Amino acid sequence: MIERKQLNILLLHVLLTFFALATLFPILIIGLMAFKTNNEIFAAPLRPPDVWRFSQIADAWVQGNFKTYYLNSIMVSVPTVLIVVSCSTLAAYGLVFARLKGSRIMLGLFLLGLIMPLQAVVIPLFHLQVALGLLNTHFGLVLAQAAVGMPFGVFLMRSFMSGLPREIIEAARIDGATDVEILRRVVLPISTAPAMTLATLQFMYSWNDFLLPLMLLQDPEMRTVTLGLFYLQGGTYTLNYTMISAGVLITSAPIMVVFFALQRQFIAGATIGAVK
Amino acid sequence: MQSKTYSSSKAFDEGRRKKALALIGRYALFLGPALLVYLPFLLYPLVQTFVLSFHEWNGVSEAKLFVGLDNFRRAFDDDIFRISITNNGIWVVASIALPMFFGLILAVMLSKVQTGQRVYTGVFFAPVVINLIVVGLVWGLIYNPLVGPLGQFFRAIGYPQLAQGWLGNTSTATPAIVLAGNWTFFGFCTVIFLQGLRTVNPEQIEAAMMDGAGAVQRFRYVTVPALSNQVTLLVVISVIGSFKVFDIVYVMTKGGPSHASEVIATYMYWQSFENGRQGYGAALAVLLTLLVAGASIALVSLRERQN
Repeated sequence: MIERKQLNILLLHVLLTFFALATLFPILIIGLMAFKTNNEIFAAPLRPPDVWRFSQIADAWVQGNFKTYYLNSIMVSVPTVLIVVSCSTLAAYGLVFARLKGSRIMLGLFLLGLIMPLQAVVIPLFHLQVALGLLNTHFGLVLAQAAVGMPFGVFLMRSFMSGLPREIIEAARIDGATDVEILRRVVLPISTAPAMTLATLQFMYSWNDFLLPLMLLQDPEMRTVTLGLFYLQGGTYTLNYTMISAGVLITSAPIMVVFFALQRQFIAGATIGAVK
Repeated sequence: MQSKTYSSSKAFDEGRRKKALALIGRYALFLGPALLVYLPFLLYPLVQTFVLSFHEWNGVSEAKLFVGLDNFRRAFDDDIFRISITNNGIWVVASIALPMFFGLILAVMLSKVQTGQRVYTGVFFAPVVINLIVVGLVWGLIYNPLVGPLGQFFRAIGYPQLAQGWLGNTSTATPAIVLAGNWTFFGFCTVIFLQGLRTVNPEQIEAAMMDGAGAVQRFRYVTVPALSNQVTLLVVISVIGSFKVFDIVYVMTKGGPSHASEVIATYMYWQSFENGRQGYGAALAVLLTLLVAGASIALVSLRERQN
């Protein structure tokens, strides 16, 4: 009986390992391509390279202009995260604790942004950025991404703050604390966990965002990593499979490392973020 | 303090004014920053899209021609729009069927092993966090008839005619992209089902065993009903995601060949930014918005109820 149970567990592990390998297969096979020459790729797509050509990754980094793209992505993601986290924390406090008349209507206004697809705004958003001279600027993209991320930020922070015991806030108020003091001394110190979740999700969204940069950043020097990678296949490198696969490796390897290091937070965050 | 009195109406007015000012101040302080970004860059364009959907406009000229509901009428006579919405339908059906099926199976298997559960979960979840542009490029290479492993496989087993350009063929492009899209979703389903399985009462399983229920029956009558919340949640998420899908289609085929893999979002983008019909594009955006908003409202109310 015990032997049968052990056999079952072993069988489960065999099956799970098979599924895990099948899941990773596409990434592994394309990752291998980055180290092979184009001739090797054409001759035998599945075989590992004869020699591991790490220099190809370095070449792709330079030729693909990835240093610029990485810097651009940071210039966009970091300010977007800061704006979304700070503004939506303030707004959530306002909606929950600051005794604002009409706060339900305000909440509804934010929730409107949560339920619509990005396509609902892209045409006028494009023309607005042209009119304001923001086209082809990182600042314009930051404002657009922050506006898109704001509803979810407000939603997340509000649902956290609604769960806080009102007595602490009222007690502080009776002690004569102003709203700003209550926010700074009472609410902020206990809000770091949801704020970090929001920051992680917003960073991922901003880093992976494709449609807004595609529309708003037409100057090749301004491209983010995601957009730069996209243009790798359309332009000069269409038939250069080594280049494309090296680009894939360069852009996804850091994310994968961070993911496996912070797996628990990522999975928890992504399941919360599924509302978006 | 003792001199302070509210008996005179002047002082009373003063008090009310102060209160009103304080309210405005709190509004500006707490909601101001968020609204400053949100109103001009999201709410205003949203309203503008609805307005634009009643106009004909090439995106450049000064004048926008008011055409009433013409753009919406045109959508229902538009063959490519019909293809797009059908493809969105294929996305919905496929992403409910395949990832949820595999997700459930994997979750059940994972729930029975202790060692390595975290590693397996991480591997299955990894495609969820990978950038969709990367996913599109990776799968584009997999399907590539010259260098892709799929073509190599079919040649090796003696079916070279199957080593074709799956993305370049009007009848296989959509299924090929959908499969790549499903690859990024089954890990999510696995995690959600795994969370649900932790709440299944082991006593119920034991009771069913006592009653002589086999493994299949226990699964059918105890486990599956316990996961109904997760199933509903995943169905709604699949529907929303399948309507919104844009990135992966745009990267892999741009909606081609000859619009065969178009979905509403890519077709809307093409009409607006490549075909110069922004009024029509706006109308398509409005239709998409109504579909997604309906499904999203269902999701939000579902989540509120579950919490």
